[in-house]
Amino acid sequence: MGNVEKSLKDIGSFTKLPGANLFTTSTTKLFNWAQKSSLWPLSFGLACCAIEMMATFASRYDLDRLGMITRASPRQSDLMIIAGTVTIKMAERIKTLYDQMASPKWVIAAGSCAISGDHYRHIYSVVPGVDWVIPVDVYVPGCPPRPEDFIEGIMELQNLISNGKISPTYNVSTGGKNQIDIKKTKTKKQKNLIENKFINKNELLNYASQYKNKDFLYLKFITATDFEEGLTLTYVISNTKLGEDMEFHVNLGNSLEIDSLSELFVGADWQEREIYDLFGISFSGHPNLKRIMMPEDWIGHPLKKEYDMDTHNSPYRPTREEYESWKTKL
Amino acid sequence: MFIEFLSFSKPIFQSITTLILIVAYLVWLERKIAARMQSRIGPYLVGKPHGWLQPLADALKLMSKDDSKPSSSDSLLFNFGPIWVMVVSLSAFALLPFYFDNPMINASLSLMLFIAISSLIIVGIFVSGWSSSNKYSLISVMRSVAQIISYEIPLVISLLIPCILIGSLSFGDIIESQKNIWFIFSPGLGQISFVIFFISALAEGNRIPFDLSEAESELVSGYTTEYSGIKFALFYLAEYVHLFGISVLGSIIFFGGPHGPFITSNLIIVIKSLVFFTFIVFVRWSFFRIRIDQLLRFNWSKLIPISFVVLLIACLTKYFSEFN
Repeated sequence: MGNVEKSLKDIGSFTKLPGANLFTTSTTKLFNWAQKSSLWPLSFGLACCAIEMMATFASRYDLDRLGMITRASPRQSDLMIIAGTVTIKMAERIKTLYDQMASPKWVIAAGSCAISGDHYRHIYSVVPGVDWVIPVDVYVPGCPPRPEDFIEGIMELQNLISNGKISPTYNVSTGGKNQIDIKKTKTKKQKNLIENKFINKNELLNYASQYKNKDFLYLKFITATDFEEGLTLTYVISNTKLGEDMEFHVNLGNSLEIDSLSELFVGADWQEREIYDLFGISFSGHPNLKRIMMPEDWIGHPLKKEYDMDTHNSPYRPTREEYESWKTKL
Repeated sequence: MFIEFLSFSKPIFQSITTLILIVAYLVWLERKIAARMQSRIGPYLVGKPHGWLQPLADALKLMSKDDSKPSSSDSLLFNFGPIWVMVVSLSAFALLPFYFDNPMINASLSLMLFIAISSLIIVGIFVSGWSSSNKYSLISVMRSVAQIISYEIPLVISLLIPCILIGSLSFGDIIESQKNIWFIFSPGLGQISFVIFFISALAEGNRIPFDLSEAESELVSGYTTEYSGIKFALFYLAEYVHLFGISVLGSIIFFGGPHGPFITSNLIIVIKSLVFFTFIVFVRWSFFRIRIDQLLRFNWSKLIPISFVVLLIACLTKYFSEFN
């Protein structure tokens, strides 16, 4: 029973009077202890992080050890675990559920999508972080967070509660004091990048073959960027023996044509097809310049700035009759 | 006056405190058993030896929670529901010879009175679901009323069979007659009536496979959907009090009450009802939930005819053994 005495000492103190042993505590501490010891989460999940959350509740990790059982009704739950990407459609429901929960209530944002939107951040339907909608107490990073991370987040929340954090909480701006200036932070430079420059569009083939003769045999990647003024192509080739990279860019301006590198580097084939597919740059001399990701009859190139979701719909959608005929065929 | 009131109410307070303590730890026991059945550990870190402070933490947390009420609900009925459920399920214990050697109310029809009181729980449940102004609560209480009213019939008949054979409706006589052999061991009738009693007791207590009023996949959490804080705690506790009452009733009617293998004591009743309760928990965590139409069809087309046939056989047995 030594452990009980220790846990009692955490929430109060023992005093000895002549003839009596007293245990004194404050109700705040007692109720804080009760609230942190029986956090009942609302049972709902949004995406793949919820699978990890279920694993955390299941036999190997067992959140019931901490006194957590899921409740289906928001009125009876204390904790909301946002596990997954928050879409705008779901954000309304999350707000409603949060408002329906009886206070004191806490929120854990689990997974990088719930924290910031992650790589879905710029998609039209995704909320960039659930703290745009509801206040968040603990952020659990990960993609998805492992069950250990979930448990650590919950223990962090328990620490917050036992230190007397008042709920509901709101994200108060720190007034720019503690915010990190992004420009001042040092970016990690590539050590083995020996050259990085813009070249003219016409000298691309010469330039590339010249470096290929200097043992730069491996084309790491080709990518395109759509600035408002025009498209820019970026090439990175690498000398695997010396471990050196070199990077060169081509400003295309308004023209959408450039020589293909597929004669020099075999790996350029598919990457140029992808750039053709998504940006519409045609590579002259490419053996097989077809769309690689989108359907063949797709109109427009989706990664260009001028691409509009409404005007460039998929031109082909199977109709009800076609589905039926396929069924009978199969 | 006040002293008189105290001396009168002292046994009531004693027994209610004991009962609520037992029931709080029944919740803990159920969580532990469920965890073992799913190869988990269950409550462990709240109060170090196996989470023994968990019921206290849950109760304190529910007390400190905000007491929310839907703005469109009827506040009188909304508050009345949980109090009624708790009061009724506690007052049914006044009839059971459980805490004291004699029950607090010693009536000659105590078994009938027990059934009458404990079936009043449905009034509280119905009122709370009706006044929540929530469609899930309303559907839930509709199901609950249909279920409990129809399963009341086989429950009462299965309890009548031992009463007919023994010839009394008071718990004292029923316990007395099982001094030598428990009723569950009486050939044929004992086992069949126990099976009917067990099935309809599960349905009365809203337990899986008959927990249709709280089906999470369909009705958020049934008639308690809108309740938070201490009112929800009353519902939660009342459900277990009712279940424990059924367990005590089963151990008295079918398992000989305080008659143990070597000693006769009220502690034996508690042990027997804990075993009975554990069996109910086993059933809960290993079965699926059936549909409402299956539930009612099973009752009206199978359970009730069988129980009537068994009742007839019991009457004939009594007739030929007594009068010939």
